[in-house]
Amino acid sequence: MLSRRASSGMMVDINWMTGGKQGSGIDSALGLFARLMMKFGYNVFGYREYFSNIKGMHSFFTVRVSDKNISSIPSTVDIAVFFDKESVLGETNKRGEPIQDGHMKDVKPGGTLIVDTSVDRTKIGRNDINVVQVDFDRIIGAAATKLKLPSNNVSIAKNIICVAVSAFMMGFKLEDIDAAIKKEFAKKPVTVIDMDIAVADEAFGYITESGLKPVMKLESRAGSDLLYMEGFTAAAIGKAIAGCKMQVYYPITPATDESAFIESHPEFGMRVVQPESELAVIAMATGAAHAGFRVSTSTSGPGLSLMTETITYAGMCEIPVVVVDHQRGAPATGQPTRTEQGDLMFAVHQGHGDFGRMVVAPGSIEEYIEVVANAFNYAERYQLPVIVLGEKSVAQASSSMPRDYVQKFKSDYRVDRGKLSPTGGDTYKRFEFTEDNISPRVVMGGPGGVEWITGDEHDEYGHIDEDPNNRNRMMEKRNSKYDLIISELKKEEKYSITGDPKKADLLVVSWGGPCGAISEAVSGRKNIAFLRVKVIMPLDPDIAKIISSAKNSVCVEQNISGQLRQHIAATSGVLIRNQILKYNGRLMRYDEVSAALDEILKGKNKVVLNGY
Amino acid sequence: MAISIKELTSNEDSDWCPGCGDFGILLSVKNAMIAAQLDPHKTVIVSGIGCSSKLPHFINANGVHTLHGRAIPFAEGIKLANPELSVIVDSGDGDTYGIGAGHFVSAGRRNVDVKMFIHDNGVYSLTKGQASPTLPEGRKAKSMPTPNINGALNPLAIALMAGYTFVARTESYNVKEQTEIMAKALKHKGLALVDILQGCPTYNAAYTSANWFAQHTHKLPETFDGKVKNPKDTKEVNEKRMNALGVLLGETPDSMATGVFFDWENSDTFEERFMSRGIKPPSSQSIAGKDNASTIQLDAALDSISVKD
Repeated sequence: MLSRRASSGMMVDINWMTGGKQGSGIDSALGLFARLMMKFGYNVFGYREYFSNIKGMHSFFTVRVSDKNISSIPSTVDIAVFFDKESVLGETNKRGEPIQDGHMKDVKPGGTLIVDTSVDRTKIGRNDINVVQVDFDRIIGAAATKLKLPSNNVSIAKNIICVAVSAFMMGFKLEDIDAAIKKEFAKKPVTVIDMDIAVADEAFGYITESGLKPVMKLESRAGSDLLYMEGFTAAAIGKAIAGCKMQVYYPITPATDESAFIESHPEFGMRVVQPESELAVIAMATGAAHAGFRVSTSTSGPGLSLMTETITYAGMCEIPVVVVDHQRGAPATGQPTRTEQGDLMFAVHQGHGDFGRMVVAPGSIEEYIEVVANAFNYAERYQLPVIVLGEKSVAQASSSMPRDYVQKFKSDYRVDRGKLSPTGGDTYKRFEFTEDNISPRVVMGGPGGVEWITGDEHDEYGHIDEDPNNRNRMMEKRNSKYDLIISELKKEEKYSITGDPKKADLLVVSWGGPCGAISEAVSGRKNIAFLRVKVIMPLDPDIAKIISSAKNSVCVEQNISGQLRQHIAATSGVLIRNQILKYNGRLMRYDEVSAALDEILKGKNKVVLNGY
Repeated sequence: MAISIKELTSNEDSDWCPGCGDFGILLSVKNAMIAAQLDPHKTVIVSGIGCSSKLPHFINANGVHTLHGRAIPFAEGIKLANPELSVIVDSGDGDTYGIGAGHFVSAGRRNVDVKMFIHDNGVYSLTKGQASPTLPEGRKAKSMPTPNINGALNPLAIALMAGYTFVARTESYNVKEQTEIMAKALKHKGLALVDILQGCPTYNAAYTSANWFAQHTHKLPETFDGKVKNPKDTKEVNEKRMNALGVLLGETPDSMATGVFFDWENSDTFEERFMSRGIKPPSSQSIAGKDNASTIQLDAALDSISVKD
């Protein structure tokens, strides 16, 4: 039995899991449990794995609870709770092939598995774990009787039993759980509160009667003012801070959450438009950006593919449009609900022809705010499209974040609109040749001048021009902004380093989602340095120098072809020696990254991760 | 502020073929801008790709020459960002009814206050004369190897059913009628389609010459009624739609009416829908305060994700 006492100064680091059929109510257990733990003063990191399906398929949720700062989850958990048999034992399809092989294997030795009384204990095996059986149907039945409702109508609230029993088993006081859960319910629509309270009351009664004993001794502690922050919410908040006033989107998993969050906050003053296609989305956004306003869209790989031609137009006409790509499993429809970093090379090369663009990548939920907000400044300062490469492993991860962090970021942020003025005057030239290749921009409709743009090659006025000398100068103008960008951006905006790359035995290089797992995997290992890249395009030449100076290097990526590694090699000639890759669609866990790093240190060149 | 044709004429030379219907359209657009008293600084002409889509370069107003098929969403984006701008889509039939057909139909669901002047000559001229979506089946334009195997669609009927609030047809060599109809469209509040039968003397002379139009088009009869008097009366709106559809269904490719088929000015533009929800346009919101600090109020959003009781 685990025994961890929070108050004795021992580190708290508990992992919890639940799961079940989608649409069975289990989907909301993650948020409820995570928020409960935050109310008790702990940090959380949560993640959801689910199928591209509305009802019936298996989804599961992992929440890590800790008193330190955390940024990922491990492969196994301390406590797991499931009200359906399939989640525990696994399930197969009609052809007898496994759909999922059951979560009984995911509980650590010495851990606790809470299951329904109908599950045959002998089928679980696992004599190294503690199995607790709870009569879910009895609790639901009792609540249903009180509510005078059929049991079927109430079973949607089984997730509350999962959360209440788990918190009790972890050692929290029943009255604290009761109070905290009911405060959470108070935020819900009135129609569901009665049922939730009835089920919670029955669950608490059942726990008391059944003589269950906690397996841990966690205690409620004083906490700071925490936000339950999901990656997509962070992206939305980054846009709000930047002054984005229009969000155009087409529904796509896993990006839609961001637009829905924005639309549910009219105080942001963002016009949310859902037109007929991604073709329309990017054209609307680019039109509005050209008119002189901060505007954005949010999509995933298939949507970004459809937007391609207009992104080349934004490049050709030097229009500051910000596109957030929450990457998912690709190509084609790929794995809509799973994670991948398969769009880097696409974003870097997207479209026909050469034009200036930026590609940036947040590596954590915090960075989603920062990188997205900065993207608007980059777009307007350098007058080009900016692609933000997010990914499902961050967009749909959740974590506790101090409210102060967001407020401080906002108060430190400065809106930089570059060379934008209200009017250009009668002799205004939209594409005037200048020393730094950035022409003055105006808000369309101002007095004193008009402007033209065209996707054809154009002269300084924006009229079609096929003169070869003009062509050379315009091509050079659009493609020569990179030195300026690299020289103006602060180092910490472009990349960050922990450890000493020259002295370390191994330099880990990565970008985006895997950074959370890597930073935990290398924490405390002085022989490993870590370089995380945030600005992918243009790539700071110092990055290649740092890699060259390292004794040994490995690139960790959530794709099959090592796209950052290719990009660094293509732009600098420097090839990162080794690779750790994962492309099964599932989030990188810090323990599997740590084990893979050991193998690289032992001399292996390539490790492919396959953790679920 | 009265403006003149001269002031509306840019320094760019047009490169259309001699006798092209686009010249008549260009003149009519300028006439209509004057008649509707548009301020060129606050006017944006958005086009797609093709001969017709070069038109914005020849007018001294803001010009946004976009991609093939995308003029409509570019225009909608501009109008939603800054409703003070008068936004005109001036594009071709292939652009609007072919590659951009999805946008053409969906625009009707939003009733964004944008006016579309569509050059409809039945061919893709800039790529040397292939059939456009309005070329009737069996008709063979000059450079086509064989007669058209696709059928034609009816843009006016589609617009009527999609939700356009102003639907009209005119003809490129008839500058007087075009000017009148375009000016009406510009003054109309809401989404307007003006389909302009356009002469292409190079690739479709047989069916789009001034002479052919004179013989094969006629004005809508005086008795025709397509104007909605009570904008809230759904029954009347549909009666007027039926009147317009009745005329269109009775036409053949060799006999078409010009004039305003449908005119329903109502207060349900996309702009008004946003304003009724309290979401102001980007153009009337400031985003930076003192020292360029962000002015957004985050409290409500942060409260919604806070775990504090």
